[in-house]
Amino acid sequence: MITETRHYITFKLGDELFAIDVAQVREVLEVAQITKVPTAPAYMRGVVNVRGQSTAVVDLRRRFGLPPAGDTVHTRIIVLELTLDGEDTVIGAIADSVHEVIEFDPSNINPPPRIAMRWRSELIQGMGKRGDDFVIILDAGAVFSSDEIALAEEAAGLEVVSRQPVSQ
Amino acid sequence: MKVSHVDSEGGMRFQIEGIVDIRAVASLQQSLCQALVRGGVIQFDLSGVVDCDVAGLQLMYAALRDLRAAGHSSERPRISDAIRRTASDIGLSLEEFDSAENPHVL
Amino acid sequence: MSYNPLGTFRLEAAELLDEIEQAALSLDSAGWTQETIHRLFRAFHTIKGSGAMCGLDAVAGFTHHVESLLDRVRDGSIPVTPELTGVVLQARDHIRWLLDSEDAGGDAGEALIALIGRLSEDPGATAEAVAAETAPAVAPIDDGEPRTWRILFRPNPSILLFGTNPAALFKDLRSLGSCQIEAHTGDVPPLDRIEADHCYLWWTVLLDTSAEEAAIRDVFIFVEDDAKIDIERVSAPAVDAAPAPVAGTPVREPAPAPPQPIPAPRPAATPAPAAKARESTVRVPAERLDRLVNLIGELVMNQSRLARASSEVRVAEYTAPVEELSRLIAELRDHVLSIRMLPIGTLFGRFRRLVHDLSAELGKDVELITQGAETELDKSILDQLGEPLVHCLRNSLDHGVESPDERAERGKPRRGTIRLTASHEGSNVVVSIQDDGRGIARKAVLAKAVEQGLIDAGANPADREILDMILLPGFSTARKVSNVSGRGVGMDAVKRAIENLRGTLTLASEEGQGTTISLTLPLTLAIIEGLLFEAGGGQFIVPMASVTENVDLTAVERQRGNGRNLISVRGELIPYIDLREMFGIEGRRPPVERVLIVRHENERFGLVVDRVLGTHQTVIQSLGRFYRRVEVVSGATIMGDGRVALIVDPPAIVRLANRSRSPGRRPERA
Repeated sequence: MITETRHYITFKLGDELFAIDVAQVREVLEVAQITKVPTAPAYMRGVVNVRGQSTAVVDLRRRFGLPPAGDTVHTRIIVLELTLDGEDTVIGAIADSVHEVIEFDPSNINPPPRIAMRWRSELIQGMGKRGDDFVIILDAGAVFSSDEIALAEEAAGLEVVSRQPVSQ
Repeated sequence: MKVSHVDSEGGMRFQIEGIVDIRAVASLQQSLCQALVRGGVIQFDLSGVVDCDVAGLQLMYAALRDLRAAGHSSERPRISDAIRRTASDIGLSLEEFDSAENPHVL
Repeated sequence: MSYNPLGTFRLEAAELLDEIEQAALSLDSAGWTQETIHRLFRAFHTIKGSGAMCGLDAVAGFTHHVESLLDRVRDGSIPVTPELTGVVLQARDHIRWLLDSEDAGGDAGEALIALIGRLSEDPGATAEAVAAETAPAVAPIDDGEPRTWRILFRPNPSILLFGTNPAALFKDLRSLGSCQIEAHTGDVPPLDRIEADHCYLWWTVLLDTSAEEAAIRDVFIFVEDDAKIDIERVSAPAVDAAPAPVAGTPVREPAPAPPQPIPAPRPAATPAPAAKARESTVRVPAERLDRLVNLIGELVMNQSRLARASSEVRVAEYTAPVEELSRLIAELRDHVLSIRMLPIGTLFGRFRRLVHDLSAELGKDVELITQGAETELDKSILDQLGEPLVHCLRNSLDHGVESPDERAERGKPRRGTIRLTASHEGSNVVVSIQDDGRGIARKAVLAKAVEQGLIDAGANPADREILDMILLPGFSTARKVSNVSGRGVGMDAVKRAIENLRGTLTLASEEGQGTTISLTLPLTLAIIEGLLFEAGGGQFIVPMASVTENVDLTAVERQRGNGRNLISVRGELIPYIDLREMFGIEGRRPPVERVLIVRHENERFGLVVDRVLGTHQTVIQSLGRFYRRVEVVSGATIMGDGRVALIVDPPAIVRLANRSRSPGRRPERA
């Protein structure tokens, strides 16, 4: 539930416009040398050096099941600071392009629709109204939570550490 | 520690005997949660607890509180002197469970 | 080097002795306050208590005399004089001497004790002091008038884990005067969310006593690091102060209420105790140290580039300063790294008490032997290692070691042994918990596994697999389920905790002989000597410690192997793993590749890479939570040009290669 006016940074994946709370964004970087990590799932693009710290980079296109696209001059890495499972985490997210910072008043935000969405509603905080268009406001914590990552790993058919059945 | 439960008509008698200390807490917690999930009316019998420590007392307190809040407890729980002694040693009040607020109290 | 059981205590005592020295010296200047005396008293009191716990009776016995003396100084019956300072300093030196020469025996400090005794009965003491001498020593009385104190005691949740019993503290408080103890239950979560060994209760106590604040503080002296303790004077009598809103309200809400603040006491008659300052240590946020280590890493890297450049230009004037710089940086690096590294003994020390108390409770006779306490691990790892180790020890005590009678029947010594050892193994630290108990009963494990539907009744798993079943979530052998150790046995929880540290857990057990749990932990934050290599344009590092040599691999040799991936190194055929293949690296191979010969568990194997670039001082960074499941890479490092190079883990590479080769799993090979 969003209850106050907040600023969001907007970015595109394909044709769709997304937004993330600027409070969670540390910086936006151009795509430099990304070091691929062998045996990692494809949506994990690799690691980059963010101010002396090696930082994991997630390909948001693949994360959302969009067809992969090559990097362009517009491609950016959005560096996010998140708290996942109580642990402060820095992660880079690759977007096709990053646009402006906009402000949403709670009255301009609709709850995520339960149906007729190609995006899973639990990843969405709300739909920001902007003229006749909608901006999908992402719940960054949910997008990068470990459970979600694990799900995607299984969906990608990669060999993962086999999960033991939990008794009871 | 020994945990037993006897089903009677329309309810269950949940009995704990022996020493309820930090090492017994995990398994007791499991049994208590199962009982709580099963629902129905639960008569809580702690009269056989001969000793407990802070961890054990804390768990029994939570059980009494949660059972009561869920409306599962029909009778005043039976609490042993050993429990009362430890509770009083550390200033934990069990008074709320002794109150005659419940019409079924014996 | 064997572990000196006094190691931890010595470290602690050394710090306290320094503190004592400083405090005692300040008594000679005008700058001392009542707090200085309290500090002295607390330091000796701690040495006495910890010393007694470690079995150092001579230290504890001697310190007792000093403590009694300071007690009388504290209550004003003995004045602070240069003679007192001298005695305190001599006492400090004597304790140090006792600690240093534990075997020597001999001088028990009689002369000094006599001196202390003489000082205590100093005929020159003031009239009040003489009067005070007749008063009981336990509760120092100032004017004999009872006062009311409000005490807030909010222990850390983990306080029960190390055997602290709040009830015992309250008993001590009661001995000081009349108490109204109030346990607050608002933090106790719903039943299903309770962590078995956490303490959720916190307390407020109203204490009427004629004892001084210091005496109240002494009650909490052993828990002061593990709890929030506020002691404040209440000016009015307790009766008036009692109906605080929190105290009067029974907890009825089913949901845990947020912790309620203690109502602020009315302005106290005496000034609040000054915050205790410890000059001997400085608290520094861990991230500052991390940053420092990263900077050192960059410095080291650039230094090596400078050294290389200098050797190429061969200018004599450069040679000496570059060498000197290299020495200084190496020293700086070692110092900075050592700040974050702590001996594991700091952790071991806390387990003695646990083993002692638990074995007494369980009616067992167990000796804890620790080895390798000096083994250093990064602080962040140590911080997270305590709880898993407690679980392992409890398991060994509860399920492993038999009762003395049972042991005697089996022809074992009545006294069981648990060995807690730490040692370096390559770039890892291995911590093992070994007991000489009954071992793991395979039959019981199998039966339970069948019962839980983990395997079919007819299955015939290998011994290794049976043991590993114990590590599955929710698994426990039913036999003793009513008397489990801690939180639901929790070997799976231990395994998870270790894996979160990027470590591994292995079990070995012989029925009737005992069980060994080995935890292999990485040194996540450290600089290692690495060998830098290239594969398909990417740069990688392998720990130098595991590489024995590296050799050429030509296309001709590849073919000669006939697809069997074997290379002949000085007459010995060594299997090799193609990293390009395993890592999915495409592109053209160089005509001549290099094979790094790596040693793993007494076997050698090769890693085929494009090019070897040389040694590299490597600052290891963790890859973070998103790559936790990646085994073949153990970390990353930032190179001089700002790129990230990955640190490969040879044992994991072998494991992955073996898995891919196993039947039915064979992947497409290039």
